[in-house]
Amino acid sequence: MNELVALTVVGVVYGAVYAITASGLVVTYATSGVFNFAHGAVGMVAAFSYWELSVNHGLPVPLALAIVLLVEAPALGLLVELLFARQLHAASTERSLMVTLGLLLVLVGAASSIWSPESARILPGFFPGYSARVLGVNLTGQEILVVGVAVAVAGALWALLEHTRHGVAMKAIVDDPELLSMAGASHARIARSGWVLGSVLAAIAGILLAPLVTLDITTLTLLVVNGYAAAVVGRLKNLPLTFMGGIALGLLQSYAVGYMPQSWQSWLPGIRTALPMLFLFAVLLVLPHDRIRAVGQAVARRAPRVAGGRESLGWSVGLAAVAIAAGGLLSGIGVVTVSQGFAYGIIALSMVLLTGYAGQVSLAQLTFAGVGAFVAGRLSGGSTWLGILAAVAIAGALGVLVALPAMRLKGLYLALSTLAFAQAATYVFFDSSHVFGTGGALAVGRPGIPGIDVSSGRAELVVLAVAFALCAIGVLALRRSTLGRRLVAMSDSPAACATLGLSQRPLGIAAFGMSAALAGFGGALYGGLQGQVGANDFGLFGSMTLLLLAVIFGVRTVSGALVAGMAFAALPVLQSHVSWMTDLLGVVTGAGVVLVGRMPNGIFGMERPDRRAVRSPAAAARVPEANRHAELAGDHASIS
Amino acid sequence: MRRGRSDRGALYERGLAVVMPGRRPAAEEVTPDAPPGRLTVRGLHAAYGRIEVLHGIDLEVSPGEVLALLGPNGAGKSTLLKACGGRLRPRSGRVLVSGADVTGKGPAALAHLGLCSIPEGRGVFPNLSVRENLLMWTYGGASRSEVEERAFERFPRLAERRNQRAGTLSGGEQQMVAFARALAARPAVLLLDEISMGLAPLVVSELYAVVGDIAAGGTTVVLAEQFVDSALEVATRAAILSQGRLEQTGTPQEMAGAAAASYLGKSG
Amino acid sequence: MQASPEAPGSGPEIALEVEEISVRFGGLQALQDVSLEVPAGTVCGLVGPNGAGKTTLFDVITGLLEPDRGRVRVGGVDVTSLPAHRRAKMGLSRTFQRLELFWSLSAGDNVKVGVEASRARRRGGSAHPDDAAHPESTARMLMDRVGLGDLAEAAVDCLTTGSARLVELARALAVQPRIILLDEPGSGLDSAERAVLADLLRDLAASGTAVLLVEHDVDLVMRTCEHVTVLDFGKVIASGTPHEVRSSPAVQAAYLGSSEASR
Repeated sequence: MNELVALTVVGVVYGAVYAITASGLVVTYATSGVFNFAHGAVGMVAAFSYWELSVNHGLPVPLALAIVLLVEAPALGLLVELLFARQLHAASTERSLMVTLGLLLVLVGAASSIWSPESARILPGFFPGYSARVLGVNLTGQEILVVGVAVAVAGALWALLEHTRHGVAMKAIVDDPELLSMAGASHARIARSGWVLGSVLAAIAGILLAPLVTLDITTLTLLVVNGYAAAVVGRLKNLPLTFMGGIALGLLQSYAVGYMPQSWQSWLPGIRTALPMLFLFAVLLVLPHDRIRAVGQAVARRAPRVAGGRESLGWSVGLAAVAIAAGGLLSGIGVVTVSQGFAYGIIALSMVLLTGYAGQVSLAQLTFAGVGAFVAGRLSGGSTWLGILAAVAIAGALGVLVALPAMRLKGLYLALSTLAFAQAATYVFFDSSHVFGTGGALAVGRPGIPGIDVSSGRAELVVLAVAFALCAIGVLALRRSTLGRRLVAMSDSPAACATLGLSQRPLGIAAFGMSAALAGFGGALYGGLQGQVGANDFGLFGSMTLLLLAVIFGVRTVSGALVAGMAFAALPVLQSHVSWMTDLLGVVTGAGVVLVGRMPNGIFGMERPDRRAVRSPAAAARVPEANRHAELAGDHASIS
Repeated sequence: MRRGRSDRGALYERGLAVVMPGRRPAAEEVTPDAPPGRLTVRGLHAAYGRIEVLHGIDLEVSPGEVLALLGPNGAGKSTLLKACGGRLRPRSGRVLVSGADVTGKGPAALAHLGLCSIPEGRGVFPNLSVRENLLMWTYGGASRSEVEERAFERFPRLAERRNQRAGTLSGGEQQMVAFARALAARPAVLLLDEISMGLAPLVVSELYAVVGDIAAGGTTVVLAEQFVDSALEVATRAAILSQGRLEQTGTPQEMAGAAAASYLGKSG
Repeated sequence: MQASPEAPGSGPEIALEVEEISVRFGGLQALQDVSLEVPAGTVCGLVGPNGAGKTTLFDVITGLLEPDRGRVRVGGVDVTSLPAHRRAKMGLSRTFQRLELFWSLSAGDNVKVGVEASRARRRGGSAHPDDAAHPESTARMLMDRVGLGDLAEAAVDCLTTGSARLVELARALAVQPRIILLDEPGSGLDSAERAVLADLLRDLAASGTAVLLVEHDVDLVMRTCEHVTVLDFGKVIASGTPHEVRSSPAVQAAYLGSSEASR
């Protein structure tokens, strides 16, 4: 009985924090239409800033709180709004997703440069030593505060949204921003207040959560990600449901700690940590379907030119020649880096297939790569081609398994479900000693090629270059095939595809499976190159970074994938020359995405100027949501 | 009956003060003899992307006038109203309100200059209650109680449904909520786009009676309609728009026949 | 096959039958008890003022929108509960008022997706004369048919609205439909393109295809349609030959708004 009460208290306290952060996420999403993946990172930065001020500089608690909550957090919210969001209002889900992911990487990178992850920091709770007996239960000051703040936040949001003109306008802006302007309100100001409020709520949650867990960049960024799960319970708009989702998640997690059978935990030690992800995944799966709708000329995305078969073959031969030459010129570390670049390039090619062609965003590509490496390593140490084949097959099958339920979802929700999958896989699978062995390292060998000694680094470089070239030829050939045309068509207009008799589900599942198989292949080769791999090689942040690099360089082109892979391999090497920043890769990638955020096809997919001169009529219908029923759009619709 | 109608000029100046604090409009922006509330359109070209929809529209509507824009689908009626209401930046040409050039100003700025535009088919926030919708109409300057008083006085049905979500109201009731904005704002210029669309004739007559009253108070009204007869009951002038050009302008009676021809095919 | 009350048994096979469809969007009754039928080999018109519910009806027929009430039958088979892609496989095809092109593909490839989709449909089924041909050449032939033979390589967002509409039309024809729904195919077309369209509609009907046409160009409707249904406020207010419809008082009222006449 006592245990139940104690677990309930802990669950409610955690749930209250999740609810606060989730409500901030919802407020921002509702007023701006942007789902802020960096929401957790904002909370993380706020918690660290608060530590810096109150613990490191010894400022009084109220002053430190005031600076963080009333100055820093609003400023951060405004900055986001100014830098990104203003361009994002009319942007696609895919674009706003990429930009906020970029912001997440920048914040994480900046924070790890300022607050080195090596040294431990302790953020004390509020009212230390205070405790009170409430209904026969001993509660600490921190616990009372957390629940109190959650209740106050709920009350304040209710009062704001139901009883003030500004708050009602924040709801109205979702319905029809233009009508709000016509009524005389500044809808920019209202959207801005949504960002500020969201940012402050993220900060509150971060500061409340840090003393309960540890003041750690990744943990905080990802733990506040748990708020996503709660927000999704409220379908990103319903605040009462969001609060309930937060509490439910907190309780679930707490009861799991108390009541989950020991046997489960010895098998899957990460299962408890992964619970929020599994919860998010489950919630996403029970969400109702989105119906296919004709949205009209929503996005005119001119695709970059697709190279023909002979042309891609020519480039491939060239690439192999360059690799042979480079092998002789580069130093040892250079050879390894370029080889890694080719392996990552293959994983980036899987993103070209899935994101560039089929228009689906997956944050789990490195997870599939990890599965590939694991399978290759487990099967005869990766030194046989059979192991590589198995890696491809099993990664592909896993991709299909993930896609089967997830394909009901589109855009943002699909990306969220792959995020949940990637993170859950890390906790449950990769972190388990059954997978990469004790100490988190699994040996992976290189398959031999008859007549060639692949043991040298230079030979491996050429092998990887050829492997990349073959994959690139394959991806391009796929794009020119019937299936490739269908994937692109489905991503451009699901409604038109449906009326031609093409069903979305099998196509999406095929794209996911092929892409996961390709990532698995890349992962197996990467493993062979490294000799041994561990969970750290295949983390969520890695997936995000590689995806964003691919977006920067052109996720619809194979050359973009190659350069993205090279950058992903090279930036950590450059890091050793940049001592003042500890996460060069994250910061550069994040900032890069923000900079090229306006280029939907990335650097290598840029349109040539002469073609750009003729713009599409689609510009007329840039905001499909505004036209609820095509019929009602009247003159506008009949003209466009 | 309507307070404050006589000092439209003061209203206009108040509107300007909001948009350009501490600054009187420069001389060249104002046509000195333009009466407050006059809407002038000069050489307006507008386009969606590459497709030009309006090919040079000239129009002048004075306070108290009700101009009915008639014409078939795709003629450019809505586009013209959008360009006048700041919802579409014209490719070239000018829009003047009370003689001041307002070309390129956004809808919010125009609202504070005394221009009220009720868009086609979606003049309400469907997920807000009636009262919350009315609260949004206070951005025009009137207080919440004034807005509600004027709306409920004119449309008693709305008072009964004040806490209902606007999206669940009938089409006519939704249009009443939209009209409450015009009643609250007492605008200098009122632009109405297809207010009769999807509504029963009786409701349409009721709404047009309100339009007539608003115009009688000295407001300049421009309305786009397919529903020719009801529109002509309140219109003082009518213009036929066809393929992006103003074809004819005349009395409502003269235009009724011409409109029929343009809708039903010239051979009939 | 259900015989309709209007044409008892005698006329051609009824390819498409819509029975008492009702759709409500919040407070708006978008469609109310709408019934119509399109016999094989005829062009039927669907007209009405803006917002009358024409596109909504198309969405219901093709399966993009679920009606609150009513049935849709294709060749006598009730398809009301089938998803859009299943209906398409039964020979139902359409174009969109607001263009739904594959913007990343060339004009020719847009059509090719349709050609390939229809091949998959017939695989194992009855052989079709076109099956011998390469999809490439079938697509080219269709582009020629809509008068865009020289634009196959063009990116679709470089085309004029009229040409883009014709690409959509060619794509819709690529699946060799038994029934085709065309949503304002004439808007944005120049007069030469309109002439091509009118010929094409007649050819389609002559080859046994059922065509349902939403169009604001009255002349085009008068020239091509055998039968016209008029929608207003989501209800059918008139139905008959173009001339009957044009002289109907209810139609005059719908377009001109005489409140007395519409009762």
